[in-house]
Amino acid sequence: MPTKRLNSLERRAARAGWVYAAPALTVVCLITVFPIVMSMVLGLSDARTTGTGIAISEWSFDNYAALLASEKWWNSLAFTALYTVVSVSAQMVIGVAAAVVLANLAGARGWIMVLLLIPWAMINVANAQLWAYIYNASYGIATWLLLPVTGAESVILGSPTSAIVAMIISDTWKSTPLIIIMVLAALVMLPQSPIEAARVDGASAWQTFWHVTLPQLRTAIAVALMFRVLQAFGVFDLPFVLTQGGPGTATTSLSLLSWRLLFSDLQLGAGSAVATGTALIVLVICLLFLRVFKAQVGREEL
Amino acid sequence: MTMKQRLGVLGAITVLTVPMAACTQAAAPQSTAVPTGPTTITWYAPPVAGSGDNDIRTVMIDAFQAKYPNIKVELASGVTNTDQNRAALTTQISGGSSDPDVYLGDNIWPAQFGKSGLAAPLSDYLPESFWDAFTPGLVEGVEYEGKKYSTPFMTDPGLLYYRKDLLEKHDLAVPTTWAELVQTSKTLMDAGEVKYGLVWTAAAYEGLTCLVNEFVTDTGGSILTEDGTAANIDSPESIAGVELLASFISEGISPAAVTTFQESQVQQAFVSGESAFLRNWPYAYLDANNPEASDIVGKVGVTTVPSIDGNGAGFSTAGGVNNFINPHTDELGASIAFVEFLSGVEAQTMIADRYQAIPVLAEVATDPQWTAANPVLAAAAEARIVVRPSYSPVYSEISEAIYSNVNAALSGSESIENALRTAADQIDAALEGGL
Repeated sequence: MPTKRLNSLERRAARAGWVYAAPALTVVCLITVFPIVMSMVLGLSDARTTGTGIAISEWSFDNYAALLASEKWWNSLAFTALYTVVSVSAQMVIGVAAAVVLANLAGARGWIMVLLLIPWAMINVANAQLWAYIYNASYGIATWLLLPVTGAESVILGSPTSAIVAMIISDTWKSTPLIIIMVLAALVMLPQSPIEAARVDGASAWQTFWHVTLPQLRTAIAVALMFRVLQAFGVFDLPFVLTQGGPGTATTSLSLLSWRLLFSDLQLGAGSAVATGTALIVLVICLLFLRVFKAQVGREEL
Repeated sequence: MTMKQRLGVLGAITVLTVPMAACTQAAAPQSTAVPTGPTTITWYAPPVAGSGDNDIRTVMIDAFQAKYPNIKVELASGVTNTDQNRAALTTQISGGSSDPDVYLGDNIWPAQFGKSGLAAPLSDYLPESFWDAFTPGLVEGVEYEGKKYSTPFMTDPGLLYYRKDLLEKHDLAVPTTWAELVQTSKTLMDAGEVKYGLVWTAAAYEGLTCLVNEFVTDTGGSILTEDGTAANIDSPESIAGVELLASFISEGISPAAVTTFQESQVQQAFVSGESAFLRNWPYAYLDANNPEASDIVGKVGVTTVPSIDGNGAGFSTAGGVNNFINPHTDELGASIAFVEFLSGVEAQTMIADRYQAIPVLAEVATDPQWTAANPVLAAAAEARIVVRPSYSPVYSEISEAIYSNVNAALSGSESIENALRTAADQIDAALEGGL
């Protein structure tokens, strides 16, 4: 951007702007920036709780090196990545499909929207507890429904594969509405003329959707996808309530691992390294994703 | 709270309190004498027994204040989740806060807290005779490098609960060995009386470590070697203990679902009449006899856990809660008086009488006046206590290695031997200060 000289009025306005923003910025610094910095500091040092505060010494990458050498961390990363990819993909497909159906409903849309929002509005832990009842191995309704299929009472949360699938189903139930709402909002705002033009040109309903409607929804889908990836990668409540990370360590997400290291083991350095490392991974994924997305938009729409 | 918020609180508290900590650091050693003037101390305690007017915390405070009218105790209520209490106390005390003066915490914390400077060395202030009065086994768990960091308050030995109506009906004896228990379970299951024989906590959490500790002790193994410097969980004796646990599932007397069960789920299975036996903590008795929560009121018996050879009681892991003193307290004398009172005869008698919980003083715990009236106390008095290796400051990592790997083995995704070898490797790594 070319630098522009500000006149005195503009300068004064800019100064006033900073003054007005100062209280909010202070709060943001205290509750967002500071903890992130603190977490980075703890992750890069040999931090210990002592009777006189947290002692920080010996700056190094040892905590990160220990993570890379630790099977626990790789297991957690593998679970978290698998969970994120599968659950977000399922939610995107179901969410977009449901939004398209809803967009074509006229009268009942309001009611259905309200119903759909209930899972999304539920508190995370309450949602996890609800699913814990559903999956309970002796009286859970899911166990009962599976009875004719499996022949015996199945322990849904007792084997790695079924526990992960169960978690993905719970998350899909809770989070798909967010995608539906975001995509639906974009859908109803779409100009009708390209769709009508496609129809006049003899395109089938599927062709119209795939080549005309979907490309125009790209921004909304991308935003929804980012939201979900960020949330899913930080999953804590479901494994914490449903399995405590088990069976074995099959569902120990990165957040759960970090929580254990920080608050059970008092390993502040390692726990912070997991937290910061997770944030870094998500950041890289999002940046890559945005790049790809921008390139796409650039090619087709500019 | 999300991860970030938790970190935020941790970080904010640290920086805000570091200057304060620097000031308190150089303070002169405090007097341990009980103050004579008006004094106020704070007691951080989670709800452990009773509620409303009968809440054990307020009852204890009232009794203490009646005895020491010049000392006022303010209650700061904790939560029921022990890890959340640990997080709250760690941030507050490591930040240098003198508040709370006394806190009630888990009996597996002393070494970790002693090492991290979060608890005052109470053996420096309280005489040898004070420590000798506790039930044998309990004091071992509060030591770290020759000092004692907390005073026992209530103890929870693992016990065996059984359906006395069913045993009577089929003319069966209360089992004293595990083999008998398996046999009795099969008889009752075959007769269609119950769906399961025995339910126990095998989910991936601390409760499973407690059970593993009991079983490997019975087969002559242990979690750590005797000197506590290396893992012993992969020794042949230890493996035999875990194999015995696993056999309950393979023999069909315990459902595979136990690998997802914590206390509330096993309790539910027992009080709904699905299971003939239950391995749980002392509170389970009152709970199983509560008409609002139980279908088997009046049909429950309690005894010590069986052993392999039937030669006396089996081993019981001792859960429980202890009192700790904040090393930054400004009222050391009053705090000592308070923890001493809570472990004293008067307070411990109230625990037995009013709360039907298990006192920590040997004298009260074995007093026929209480054991005759209360079957749980009678069973607890007979229990052979075995402590977890919580004398290690990395106990929480040790326990994680045990419960996650044993849970994997019990749910069939790993062989017992491999699982225990992995556990041993993780424990050794933790003992050496790694992850």
